[in-house]
Amino acid sequence: MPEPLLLTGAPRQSRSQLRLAMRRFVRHRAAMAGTVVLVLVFGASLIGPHFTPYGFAELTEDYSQPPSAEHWMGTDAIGHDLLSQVLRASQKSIQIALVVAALSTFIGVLIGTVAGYYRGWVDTLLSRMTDLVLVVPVLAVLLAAANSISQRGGNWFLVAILIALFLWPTVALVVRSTVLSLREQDFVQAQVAIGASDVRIIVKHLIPNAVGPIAVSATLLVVTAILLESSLAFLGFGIAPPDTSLGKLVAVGQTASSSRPWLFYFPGVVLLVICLCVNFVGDGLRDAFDTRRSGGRA
Amino acid sequence: MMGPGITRTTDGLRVRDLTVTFRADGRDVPAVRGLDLDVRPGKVLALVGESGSGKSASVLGMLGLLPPGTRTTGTAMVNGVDLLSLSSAKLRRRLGKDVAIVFQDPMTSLNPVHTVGQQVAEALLVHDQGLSSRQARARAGELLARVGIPAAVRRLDDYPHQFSGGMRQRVMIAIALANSPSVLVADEPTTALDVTVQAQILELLTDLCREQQTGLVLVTHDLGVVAGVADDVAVMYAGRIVERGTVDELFYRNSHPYTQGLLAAVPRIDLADYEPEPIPGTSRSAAGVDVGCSFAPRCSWAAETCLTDDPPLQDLRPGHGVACLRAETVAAAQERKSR
Repeated sequence: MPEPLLLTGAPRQSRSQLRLAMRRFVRHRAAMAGTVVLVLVFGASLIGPHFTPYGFAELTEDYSQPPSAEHWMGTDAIGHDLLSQVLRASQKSIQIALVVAALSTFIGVLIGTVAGYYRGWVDTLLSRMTDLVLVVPVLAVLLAAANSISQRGGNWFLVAILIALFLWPTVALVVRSTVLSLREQDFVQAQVAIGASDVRIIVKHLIPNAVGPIAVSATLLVVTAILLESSLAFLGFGIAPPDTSLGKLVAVGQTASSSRPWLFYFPGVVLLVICLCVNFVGDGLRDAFDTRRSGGRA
Repeated sequence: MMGPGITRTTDGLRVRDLTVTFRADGRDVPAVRGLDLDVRPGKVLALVGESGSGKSASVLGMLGLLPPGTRTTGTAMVNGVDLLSLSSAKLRRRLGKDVAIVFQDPMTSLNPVHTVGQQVAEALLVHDQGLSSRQARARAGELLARVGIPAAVRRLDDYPHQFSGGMRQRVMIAIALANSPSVLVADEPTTALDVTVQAQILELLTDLCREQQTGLVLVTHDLGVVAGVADDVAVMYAGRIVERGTVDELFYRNSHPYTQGLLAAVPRIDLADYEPEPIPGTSRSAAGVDVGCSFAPRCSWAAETCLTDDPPLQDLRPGHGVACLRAETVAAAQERKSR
């Protein structure tokens, strides 16, 4: 839809790039659907436990029940209500994913902008560091470290920080290349020419212009983080019982997938839905910020 | 912001023996070789030359805006401080305050994600931490009004893409003049604009500079522009000034064959049957000049000595310097021709 012409005197509204991107995002159907589902799942995982009759760690008298009016998602062999567990697990998984995304985006943006802005030996140093972290076999290191976390009570926050320490390189690479091209733009030199400091240029001019790529890679990190945490939990590390996560439920349920399929499929489908939705949101963000793709600035 | 009529003690810009050397493929490539410039407060100095003559390199070098790895030597005095002797952090504090620059392309010189008002206000806030954002915004409005943006206050919240090229260049001028610098460098400020807007922007630029006693260095290759607005002119060729003087001296008593060639190459509509005459050969940059006059290979006046001796920039008359071994002969011929 073409924009109305901005005639003098006509009522008009200043449009920031962010606002334009929002408009494009809202028009992106898959992304909006993804957002709605994600909000619902996260909302349910936060509010739901207050309404379910059973606690996630509560052992009921019903063992290995298939889904029923009493237990919507059934129960496991020792009487856990699966619905309560899935809600709790989604909450933990999403929390971990959000912390990971925030933290590794922060580290990645910091390292990426500094490397891209200063170039030279700073860039070489930071880039090699990034490469180094990138080639570390994440799962192996995480397993080793997660083991000791499990022994310390399986704090989900520690798990998140640990994952974040290995996921920032992808953000750093994206941000660095974006900043490398941004810093050559005239407006950056114009800022130097009015006497703006490096910090000011980076914070007020480079990062806001890189918001698109940053948002997209942060979103994709969410998926990576959820899957990584699930892998850890699947292998038996990370969050310690009685607390739970989606990966853990899938791991436990997998052994029973033929005899009591609900134990595997309910948490598995929730995991899948979350990851799919986050990917849709990532797609939507990418399209929303990519002006070339949608042809001009509408 | 300095109001009209307020004069202030400033001695403009004084550049001595400026050299700029780029480093390319492990070799030193000179771009500017020993440049002297004087910009008087409230006056317009036009720095003229072809592409590659070193005019942009000179002004960017003075302000420390060239990429790292470029070597700049000499002195550039503004308000008693030599810009070239400052550390980059100290220089940054002078930029925008004592000396400012307007770039060629206003379409890309503004950050697309911030409003125009924010960007003008920022120029003020960078140099005055005591200023509140309300005050900065109010002054940004005044500045935009001063550079002739209609409904300035209403447009503070607009983004750069809502401005035309000419209007954006006005914004750039407002930003550059926000802190009333002693010297303003305008690097081909109208090249990227519509012809119809060029004259307005130049007039605005020179009017504002005269009004607040800012010395203006106007980098251009357009001699029509020079004739219209400049007080002084310096003609550059291959990284050096070959002739300098007041506009009248340069246009009517020019004594360097290159200046004459430039003027003869300007198309004119005020004379019937006027054929612009190109200068033979191609322009050269400062790189690759070893001995002799850099213009000698293209010069119809060149003698034996021109190929071996370096012509110094000497005053032919007070305030009119020429770097040509045969300047007096050329000047005499010019006198005869114009008579």
